[in-house]
Amino acid sequence: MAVDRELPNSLPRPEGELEALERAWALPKGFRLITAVNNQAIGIIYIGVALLFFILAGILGLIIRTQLAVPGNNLVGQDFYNQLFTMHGTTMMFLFAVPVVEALGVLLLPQMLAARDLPFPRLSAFAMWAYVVGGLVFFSTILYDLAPKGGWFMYPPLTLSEFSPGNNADFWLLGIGFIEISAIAGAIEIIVGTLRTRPPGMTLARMPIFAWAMLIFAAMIMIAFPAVILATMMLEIERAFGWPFFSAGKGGDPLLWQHLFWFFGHPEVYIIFLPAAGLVSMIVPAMAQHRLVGYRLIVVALIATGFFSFGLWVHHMFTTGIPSLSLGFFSAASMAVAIPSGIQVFSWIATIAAGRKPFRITSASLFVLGFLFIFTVGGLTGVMVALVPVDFQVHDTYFVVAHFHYVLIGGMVFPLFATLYYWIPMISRNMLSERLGRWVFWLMFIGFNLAFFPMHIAGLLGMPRRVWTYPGDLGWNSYNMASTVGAYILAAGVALFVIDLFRRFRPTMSGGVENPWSAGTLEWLPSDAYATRSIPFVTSREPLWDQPSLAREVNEGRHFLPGAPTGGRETIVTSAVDALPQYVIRMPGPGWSPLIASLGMAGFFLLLTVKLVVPALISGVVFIVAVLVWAWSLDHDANVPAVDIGAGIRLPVYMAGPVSHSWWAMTVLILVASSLYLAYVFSYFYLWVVSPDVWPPEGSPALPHIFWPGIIGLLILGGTVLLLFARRILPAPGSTSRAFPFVVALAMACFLVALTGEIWGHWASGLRPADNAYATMVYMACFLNLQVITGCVFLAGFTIARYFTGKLDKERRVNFESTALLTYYAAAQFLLGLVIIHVFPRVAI
Amino acid sequence: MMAMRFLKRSVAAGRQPVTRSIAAALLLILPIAGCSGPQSALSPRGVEAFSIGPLFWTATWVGLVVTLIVVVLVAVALYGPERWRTWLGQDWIIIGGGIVFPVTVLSGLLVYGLLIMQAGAMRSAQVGLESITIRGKLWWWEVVYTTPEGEEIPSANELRLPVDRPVRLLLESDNVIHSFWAPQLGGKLDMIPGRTNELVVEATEAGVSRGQCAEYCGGAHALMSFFVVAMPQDEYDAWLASKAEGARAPATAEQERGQRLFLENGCGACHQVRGTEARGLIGPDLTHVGSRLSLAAAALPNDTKALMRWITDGQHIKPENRMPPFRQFSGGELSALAAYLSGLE
Amino acid sequence: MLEEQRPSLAPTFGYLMLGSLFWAVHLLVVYAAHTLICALASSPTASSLTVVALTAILALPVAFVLLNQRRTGRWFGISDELPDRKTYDAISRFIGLLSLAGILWAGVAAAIVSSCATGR
Repeated sequence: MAVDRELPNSLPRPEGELEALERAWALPKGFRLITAVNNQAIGIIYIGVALLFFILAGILGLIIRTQLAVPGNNLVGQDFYNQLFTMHGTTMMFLFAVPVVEALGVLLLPQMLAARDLPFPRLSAFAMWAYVVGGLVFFSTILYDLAPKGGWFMYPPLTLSEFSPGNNADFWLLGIGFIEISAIAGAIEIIVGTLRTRPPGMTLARMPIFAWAMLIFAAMIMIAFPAVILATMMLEIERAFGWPFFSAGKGGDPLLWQHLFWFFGHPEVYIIFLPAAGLVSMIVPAMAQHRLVGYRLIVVALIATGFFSFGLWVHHMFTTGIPSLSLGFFSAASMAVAIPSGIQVFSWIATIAAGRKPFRITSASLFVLGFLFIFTVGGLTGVMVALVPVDFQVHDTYFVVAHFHYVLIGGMVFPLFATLYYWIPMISRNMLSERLGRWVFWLMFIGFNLAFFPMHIAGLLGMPRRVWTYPGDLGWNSYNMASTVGAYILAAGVALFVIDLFRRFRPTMSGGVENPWSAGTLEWLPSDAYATRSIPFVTSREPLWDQPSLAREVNEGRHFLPGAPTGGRETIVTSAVDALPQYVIRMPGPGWSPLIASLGMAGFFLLLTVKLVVPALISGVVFIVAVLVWAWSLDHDANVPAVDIGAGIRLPVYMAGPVSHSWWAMTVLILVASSLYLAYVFSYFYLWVVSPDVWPPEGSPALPHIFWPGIIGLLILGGTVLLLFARRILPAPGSTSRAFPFVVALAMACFLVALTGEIWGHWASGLRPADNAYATMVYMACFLNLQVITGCVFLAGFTIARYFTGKLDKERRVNFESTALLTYYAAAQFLLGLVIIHVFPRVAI
Repeated sequence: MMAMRFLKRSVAAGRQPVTRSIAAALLLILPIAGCSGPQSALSPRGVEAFSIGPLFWTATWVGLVVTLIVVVLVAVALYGPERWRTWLGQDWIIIGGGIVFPVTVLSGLLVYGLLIMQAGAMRSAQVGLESITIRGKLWWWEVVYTTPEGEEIPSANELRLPVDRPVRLLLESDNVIHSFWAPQLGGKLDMIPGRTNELVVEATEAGVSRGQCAEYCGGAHALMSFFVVAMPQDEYDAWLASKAEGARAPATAEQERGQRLFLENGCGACHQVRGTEARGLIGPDLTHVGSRLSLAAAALPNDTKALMRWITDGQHIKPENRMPPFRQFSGGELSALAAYLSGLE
Repeated sequence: MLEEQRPSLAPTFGYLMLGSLFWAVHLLVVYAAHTLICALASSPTASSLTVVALTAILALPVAFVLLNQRRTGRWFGISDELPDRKTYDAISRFIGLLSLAGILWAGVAAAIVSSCATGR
């Protein structure tokens, strides 16, 4: 490529180019600001709300610590205390840690990749608003004595309606259910954004470490969250309709929940930690003014952590009576996951040492150093609990409480504060006070260690977790008092930070503080609401260090896409590995639909929880209408000429097929759906192993004749073939194809008939879902198929409507492709289900 | 085979005072004022706890040393002389410190941990052990002994063990998940509906220690504790024989009045006092309640005053417990009831 | 610049993550094999032997890749001329090393701990 020497675009830039860019990306004014979809605006609100939840959950933590300051305390009662620790854990995990990391992704990723925005801006807005509304309502249950009290892990049978009557547990299940959806929406955004909207020249091997971390973070969400989504669905179904997934008496097993929950729950810890580690890997080089030593090894560490973290879930179940050898496997994996952390720690040390000038000690660096210490300690106690016999003693004691606070506060909150000190200048007219920052750090560091180190000892002295009171004669008193004092010192540090934030933080889209740390990555390019004036051509990992004139060139508009050639919001889509420009994506601007859709969804779930069915249904309809309005505007006219982005490169502005971002997003969604289904398949076989005697139980109705699933399978195949045929008869632009809508409708009819037939077959045989675990799993397969097929039918209806309004043809076919992809997946899932449900019980021993 | 011999030796060594004095020396270094406490995992009085101790301390030492190394390296990286910093700032330090070193250390720890696990497997593989069934209830422990004659003796909230003889505990639950944990004996094991988990415990010295439910079980989880009383074999046998008998008849007029009140007020619907008409199986067996060390799963001491409080005010002492308050008694009636129950030794 | 897009995503990531994929498969099969053989056949010996055999079967390909890194890279479409080739090779190699350690560690467990026992 010749662009190395010559810049893609020349000076002077044509008149009105900058103005067009500004117009396209302008933020809505006044109260309409809430309809903004710019990633900076969304990101700032997102982080702000996440910090609010951090403070709220922190206050719950302080109440907990106050109650435990002295033995036999009566400040709060037993029932409220049980709500407190449940909400503290749940809020910190689901309403603070995961969202704040996604928020940082939304805010920082596009800047680091010099993209004008993430590829699905409205999806970000939707994910954020769903989280804000749902999170606030969910959290407020603590004020009305309605909060869940089953612990953040919600183990059945304790959380079954027999032992947890009332709505408290349902709030957890449904509240968390849609926060999970929001997280998955964010993950899709981040995966497609990281892989496809990098600047030209930024190959995988040149990606900033944070982008690697977020990529792996999002991939982990894709695999981990579906397991807990399935688990929450099953628990809610058991609570509402008595399908015995977890009831031992009917062949279910309470441990199934633990497997599914921790298959999510353990990776969750790393889902939180990896991005934080990625941020540290960005801050350390800037403060050392030296490239990251061991970039490749850090990538190794991130990938390895991503994998190993899925092999640890059983280490939360070491004391459940699982056979020793199985525990041994997971003990080994728990050891393995320590190595990547070691790699990262040593890489940071090496980078600090490698800087020619001494490491710059700023508030951000202090938090990084504090993180290094705390995280090391937490990692090592992690090795201790990975030793199965040690875990027999310390499991579910305050030792573990200490351990995971070291890992989570050390591994995530300290880097987050470093991040805030480090990146706030990017989006604020003022930096935070470095002088106060030192106070904040030392208060937090000392308070943290005073609060949590003694808990190790309290745990070893026998203090279990989740106790609202304890006797005074067991030797725990002084440790608990120390912890409480420490917690207040820690809180004082956070409070001081908040004060400074209010004093100094003045958000801005244009002209934050200019690269105050002399960092080398793209987020420090001069930027505005439209991000950078032009999208740089990148030749190294630290472009700002290696191309000293880059900031000026970019700002003069001499790199790629310096304007808004279609008049709207655009950014460049590049190939996933080597970042060659492929096409220009057109993105939607501000709008009410994502906001209204999120309100509708939150309303649906929450109203359903309190059993207000009609208002819930109305909310559901609002949600669907808003989504339709939103989606209607997305698929642009295909008939727009290619645009010149510079260096003589002309890129199309419409893309369908496997290269398009919508294809990628649908693929990611399908991967999510398949992990959900795999979690179901695991559950099916798990329950079979636990109770092979009820598979099916004596006296259970026989399965429908084998011809029955045969016919159903043929229907599914028929529907798939019809859709393949529909692809061939898509009309040419400007013409019509009368058969097309009918073929699509017929395909959907095949699926619906097949699904109805499958359910009817079992029902007619006399099998009822609440009979036993076997029957439950049979109907659960139908339920999961119903979900996917409903999605297909909605998409198909949308596609047909697009056809009739003349917005669908051979070229402009993204809507059809999305429908087809999801339907092919639905067919595969359905057929696999038929084999499991109808063939397996006949051949199983 | 080597591994087995090593195990036997290390477990045996664990019981030697030498290890304990080393452990005590370590405690001086760590800011631990005292590690005794009746519920402390750091003062073992059971075989499993003894086998875990050295592993725990090894891991603690490794952790301490690694933390020190990291702190020193960070200090050098920050403030060290130029030459040291250049030496530190290279790829090989990551491979050495981040891969080779942890793989070596962790391999050792992993194998050590697995050997201790295998020692547990050998313990639990012993056949012909006496077994005691413990059921987690909301929120107390049902403990069922079996006499040599095969008779089941229900009791509650207290585990009596012979010293130096392994006993198999059968852990069950018919409600939510609980976890049985007597730290001085060994690690915890969950009680899960639909399963029977087996835990072999062996007390190494006579004495009283304390245990507690370790898995959150809702409501009064914090107040679900118990005492473990390890006693010499002959004392244990005598104790078991005495508990196999029915309840002692009331000895005083007040106790007699208490018994009448007990039976007339429906206490027997939930509680059993063997040898009387009280046959309830919902609450703890009270046949020998007077001889226990505590009331209400170690929430209260066992004396007449506490008994009276428990009968009238149990919901304040242990909220949500399944026994409704009985407020109908006069002061005299209450003390009669308490006298009767305390007399059930 | 729209010409042939290579290398493409799936093979590249497949190459980078090769070792960990083997590790994941290993954990899955040894855990499943141990559980199933104990539950259905209740034969500790068969279970231990299966686990050790599976460990050997899955460790070998990882070792092979480590010894033939460049050749494997070419199979996955990472050509010798690709500027980032060295980075990809290094990542794949170290992932392989860590995964091999993980696989062998799980295998060691089978060598030390008896199968099918809860061991408490």
